[in-house]
Amino acid sequence: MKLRYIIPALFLGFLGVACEDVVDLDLPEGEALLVVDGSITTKDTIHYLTVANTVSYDTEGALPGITALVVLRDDKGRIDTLAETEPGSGIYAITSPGVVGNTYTLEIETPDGKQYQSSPEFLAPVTEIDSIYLEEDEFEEDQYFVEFNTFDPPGFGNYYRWKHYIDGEFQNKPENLAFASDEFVDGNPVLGLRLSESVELGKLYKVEQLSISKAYFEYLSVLQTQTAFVGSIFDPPPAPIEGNVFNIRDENELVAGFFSASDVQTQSIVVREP
Amino acid sequence: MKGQKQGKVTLNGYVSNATTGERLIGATVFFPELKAGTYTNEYGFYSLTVEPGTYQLFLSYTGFSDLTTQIDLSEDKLMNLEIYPEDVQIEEVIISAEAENDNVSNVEMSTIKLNISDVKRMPQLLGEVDIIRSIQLLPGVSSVGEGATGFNVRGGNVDQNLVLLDEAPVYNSSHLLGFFSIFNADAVKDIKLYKGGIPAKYGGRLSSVLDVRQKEGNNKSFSGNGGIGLLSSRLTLEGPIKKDKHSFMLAGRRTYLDVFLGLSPDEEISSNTLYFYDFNAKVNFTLGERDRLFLSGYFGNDVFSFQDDFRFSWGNETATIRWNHIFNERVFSNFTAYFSDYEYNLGSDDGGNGFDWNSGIRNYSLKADFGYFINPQNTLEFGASSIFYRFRPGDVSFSEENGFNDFFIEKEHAVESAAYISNETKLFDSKLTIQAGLRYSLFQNVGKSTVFIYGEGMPLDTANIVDTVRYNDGELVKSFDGFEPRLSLNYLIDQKQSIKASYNRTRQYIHLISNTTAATPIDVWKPSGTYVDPATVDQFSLGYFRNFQDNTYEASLEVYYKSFEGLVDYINGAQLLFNRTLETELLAGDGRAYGLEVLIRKEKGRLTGWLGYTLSRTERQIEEINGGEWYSSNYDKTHDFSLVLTYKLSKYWDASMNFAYLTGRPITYPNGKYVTDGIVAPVYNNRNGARTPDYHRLDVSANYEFKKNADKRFKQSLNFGVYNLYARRNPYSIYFRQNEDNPDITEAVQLSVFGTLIPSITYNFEF
Repeated sequence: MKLRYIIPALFLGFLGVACEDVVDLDLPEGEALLVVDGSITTKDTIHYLTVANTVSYDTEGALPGITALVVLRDDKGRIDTLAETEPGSGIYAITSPGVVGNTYTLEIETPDGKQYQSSPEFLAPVTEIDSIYLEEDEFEEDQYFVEFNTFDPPGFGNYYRWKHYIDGEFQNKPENLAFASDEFVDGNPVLGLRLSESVELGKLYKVEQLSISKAYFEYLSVLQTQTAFVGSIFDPPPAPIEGNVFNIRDENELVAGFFSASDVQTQSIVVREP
Repeated sequence: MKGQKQGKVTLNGYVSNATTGERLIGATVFFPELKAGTYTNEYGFYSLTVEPGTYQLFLSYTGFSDLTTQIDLSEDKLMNLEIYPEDVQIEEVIISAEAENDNVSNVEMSTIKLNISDVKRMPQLLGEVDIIRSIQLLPGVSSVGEGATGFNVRGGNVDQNLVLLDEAPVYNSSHLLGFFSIFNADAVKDIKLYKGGIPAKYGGRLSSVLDVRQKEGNNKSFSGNGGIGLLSSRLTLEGPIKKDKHSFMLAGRRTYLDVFLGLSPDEEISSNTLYFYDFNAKVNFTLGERDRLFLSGYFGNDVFSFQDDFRFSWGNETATIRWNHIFNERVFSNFTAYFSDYEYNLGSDDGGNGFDWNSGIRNYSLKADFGYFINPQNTLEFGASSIFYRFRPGDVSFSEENGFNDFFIEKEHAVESAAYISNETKLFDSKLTIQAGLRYSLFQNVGKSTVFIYGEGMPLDTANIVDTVRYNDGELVKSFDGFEPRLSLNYLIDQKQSIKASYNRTRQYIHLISNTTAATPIDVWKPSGTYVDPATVDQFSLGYFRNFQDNTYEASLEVYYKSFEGLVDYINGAQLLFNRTLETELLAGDGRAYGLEVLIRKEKGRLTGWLGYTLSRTERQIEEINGGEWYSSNYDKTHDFSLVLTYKLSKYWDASMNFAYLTGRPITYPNGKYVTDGIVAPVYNNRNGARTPDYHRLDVSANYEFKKNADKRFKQSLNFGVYNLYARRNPYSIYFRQNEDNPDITEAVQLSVFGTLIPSITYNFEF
């Protein structure tokens, strides 16, 4: 919804009088929440999962990790106990990639004896990226947009996420969040998708297309609303971003983060003159 | 002597402005010897039934010279009265020593009447005379912030205001988002806002009625006025079609920001478009002594386009036909048919990204209102109305290259009907006035439509849809109804002071679905139906009214308490646009609002204006939000102080100022953060637990009237103004983000809509 940016920007911009100032505030320090965040995908790599606590908003640096018992189960009977990469880091390695068609569940027991569990995540297959190509930027010299084509299989209920990497670096600012449902495109080719502004010549641009669950789609929608769609007079109300991990004895306990499972298809292109 | 009871006689007729023929609303018609009097109604009609005799008749209206005249009433008499504006010197008018004290004696409380001429003198943003921005300087009326669409009355949401333009409701009263209102002040004759004690003849919204009446048009001579400002130019023409009988009024206004944009050498700017316009028209015909016919209309649009990539327009249209008929000396009636429409369109002609999106709300209505002036002690009002609605939540079609499927959300339809009766009784030598009314309203959501059925006892979630029910054209989907009692009391302690009290229940069946801090032009209205209930409010107010120094100062102190039920709210991260199952995103809850309002007004002398203060609280409680605890609503402002003054320096110059001081609005601060897939996410779990810094602003203006030229009819003036004189960066909101350069650092950013002072100059003329 680029609209949210465009409308206020244009009016205020034209009037030329609005302004923004970075201000110092005394922010409240809320109770620390448990954070469980990570994913398993079909990419043949080690995946990492974070178990940590939230910190107050003005704190800098990494989150305080929690050493816990972390178990990953799939619906085919496989159970892995995940090892913490470094004691106290709160980062856990998932060593085997995900398998399409499996359903994954995470179970965690923290040192204070509380037990948590994720809602089951079904790893759905994703379609391929048919082609990736360059489009010239009319306004900027030697800059190109990267676009790609894909398609959606017939039948509603497919959810997608796209990530892009420039020279191997994952572009993960809030405004880079890109995800969609097939509500408007069911069963059709999807052409000319563009994930970012134009890029310079010589860059290596990689696109990943991921299948995601409806729950993760909804999580990303709220995350995007709360991080990328802010700073206008039309901001939605700030709200907790509810993830899919919960305390099995107290479902009202707010747990931050999301455990997701995705199939991944990749395409890359080097930006060079045609 | 025909038809009168107990040998009484009735004096009736219209009161109008002697220079233009414009009928005057709310003028006082009074027989001092009998202590019996009345007010003219919305069409300038009055009727008074008294014992036969010869009496002094006293007529007064704010801004006009009083009129006293001798009347010999031996039988029923039709008498149309004319009075002159104060600035017109007419010898035969006797300026009465008896001062009016409307404010004290009228049973109405919690109402605001503003004179258009006063509003025109107030400092205005970019010199654009704005009725809605001006009423926000009065107690009990506020907004979320500068540039926000609409206004909030006594803790009511923006969709709880019934904004009427010549009896037709207007669904979005703002231009350029909320910076300007759609009312061209030159075309407006009268504005009145009811904050409480809402009479039974009004219904459909919870919190207020803003009744705006367009000018009828000068039926004495051809005249006009207009102006050239920094933002817009306007022109109003009016005149008789047939002198003293039929007249017309035409008014237009258009901004020209886009003209300047076009001059830019930068094509990225010059190919943009941004403007709004308004067009008002009215004609009225006098069809004999007992009948008048009015045709009026409005249309306005905001148009924006950003090269070929994006275009956006929205606007209102209204059309009203009214017929006033006097059945007899004591029974006045008005029949109205109106049409009102709000639509917006978004689109792009950019090949592969091309799309066209339309949405809106439209209604047609018929209504009849009767006033029966039984005697000076009793006035009965009754009537009925019916509104047919068509809601169009949105349909989008995509360009062929795009490959997207066209998409539409099914339209919804509804019929809202109401009947009311209300009597105003004066008791104990007119010391006590009681206005008691009852309204009954019925809302029927009708087909054609499709309703999803969710599994019994299961949450409303698309995953739980078990069935789909189709309703045919006109088939009843769901209906709601209820009584809405209204009561107002006035006890006159003496001629200078009174105590007033009121209670009203109002019901609202349509809701503006808007989840943002300020409402946007793309928000859609949703009728009550299978999953959405109507909202109701009960409001109690109590007030003390007192005038000082021979009515030079009018003062009032009011307290109110409101209890809301069935307010619509939204789940976290609600998706409100293009959602076929909108009910899955909605929540319902309660609200309460209470406060104290003080207003001291000075209408006489060289110095005029008012001082207003509001102390209030507005809260909501929704089970699913904030852990079910009460929380402050977005527009809760604890203190709201305003001072509006105009000083007449000389025959040619006057100077004005506005000062406003408000507590900052509630806002949510994060009380934690974490990282999810590389993005720093804030933890928000204390809704509206903090506040933005306080808001204050001073505006000034000066008005210069040119010396009149020889023919005396042509008047010119220049208005100079500065909005936000000391250039305070008032916070609109504070938001939180990752630092651009170092994502590990998070920062708070204050957004100010006006970062500086805004000067203006406007040239006005009148002939």
